[in-house]
Amino acid sequence: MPGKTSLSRTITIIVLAAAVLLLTLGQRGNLAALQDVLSTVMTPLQQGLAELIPKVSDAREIAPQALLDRNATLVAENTLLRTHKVQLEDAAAERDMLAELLDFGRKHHEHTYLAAKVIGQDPTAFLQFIILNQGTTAGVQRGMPVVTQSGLLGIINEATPRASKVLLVNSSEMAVNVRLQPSRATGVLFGQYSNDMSLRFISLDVNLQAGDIAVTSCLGGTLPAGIPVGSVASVRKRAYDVFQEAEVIPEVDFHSIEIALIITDFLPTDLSPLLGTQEPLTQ
Amino acid sequence: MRNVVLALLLLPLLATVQSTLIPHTIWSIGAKPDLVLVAVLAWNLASPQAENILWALIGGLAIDTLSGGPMGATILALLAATVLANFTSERVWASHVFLRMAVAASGSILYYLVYSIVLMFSNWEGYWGNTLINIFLPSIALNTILMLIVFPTTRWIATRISPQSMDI
Repeated sequence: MPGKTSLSRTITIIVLAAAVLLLTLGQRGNLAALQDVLSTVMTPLQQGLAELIPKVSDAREIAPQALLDRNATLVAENTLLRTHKVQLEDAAAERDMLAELLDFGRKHHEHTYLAAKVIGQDPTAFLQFIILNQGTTAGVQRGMPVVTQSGLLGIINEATPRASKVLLVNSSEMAVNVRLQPSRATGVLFGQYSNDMSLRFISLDVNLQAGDIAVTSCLGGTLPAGIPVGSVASVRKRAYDVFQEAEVIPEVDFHSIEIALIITDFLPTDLSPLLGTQEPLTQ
Repeated sequence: MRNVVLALLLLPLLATVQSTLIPHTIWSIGAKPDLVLVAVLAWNLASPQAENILWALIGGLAIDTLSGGPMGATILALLAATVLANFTSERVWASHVFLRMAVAASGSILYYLVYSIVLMFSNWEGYWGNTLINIFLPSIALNTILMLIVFPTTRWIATRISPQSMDI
């Protein structure tokens, strides 16, 4: 069927051109308006589905019991009680989580926080992003740090009016300047696609040990200081290397995050004007 | 035209489920099935029509909106997989179960390959060794199994809303 082949080829070329155009415009940062429109459509759907998550878990727990129990009245009563129990447990877990977040806020009272609910994760299997239900209308901006009660979660990579995307700290795109406790040595933590992170550029004379805590340092101006990031799990130190390296386990459990805090009063410092090499002043 | 309307209704929903509900199921870490990819491949096998290529555009836009990756990357990856499925769906042995499995597996490989290449060209760092073992291979297996489950339903829907025409 030449007609069909021709139409198929035409549509393929149009879709290909659209994809390349989007990639090009995206590289230049000219897609904000389109992303806002698409996000406005998708975010309510995502929020609606996110509300279903506890109910899906309940259904999984209840189904076997319902199959075993033949008495309709008892099953109904049992289901109702179980639902109430799960709801209470869920409320208690959320209360504990909020209490821990509040505790974190009190300990780090120098910052202003905005609580946000996790409504999604990156749909591709490649990238480590989560989606929060707060966006530019609530004052969220690109570059703001995001924390949980355990420590640093990531930074805002993109914000639309009603949602924002957080690049997780264990993403391979992330590099965080850290200070180690108790040695006070500085290094750089690199994310990698696994549950741990790689700590590099630690001088060989530093006594680095398993259990040492890595917290954010002010270096680079991209994150506020003193937020826990992870703890050292193992150290690799070889006499012929320039630096020692370590594997660091993140403080945050990335698979069980429900609520996060966005630090809204911190924006990364743009150091680029200071990085250019200039002639020293001479008299 | 009806299959494009179906794509507009179905694919954003599947992308949202993929982003929101799937991470809370057994696939809490690492590999997970690509619902949008499997739906696009299954539809192209079940109902080979020229406008099915638009499923790649609609599905890709839905995924890219929810993803942190570059806008357009998933469209390209889905387009490659769609062209493959469209090509194979017109063969005589298109309805054979092994062809469906082969299309799911090869379509997934092509999809991940194109997506990875776009990420590399967009200056995304990647630990490709880890990704291959932890993501690619399990996801390809999951997509292949899912295709076997999804295809009969897809074909049933396709025969009702978009019956195939035949030139004599």
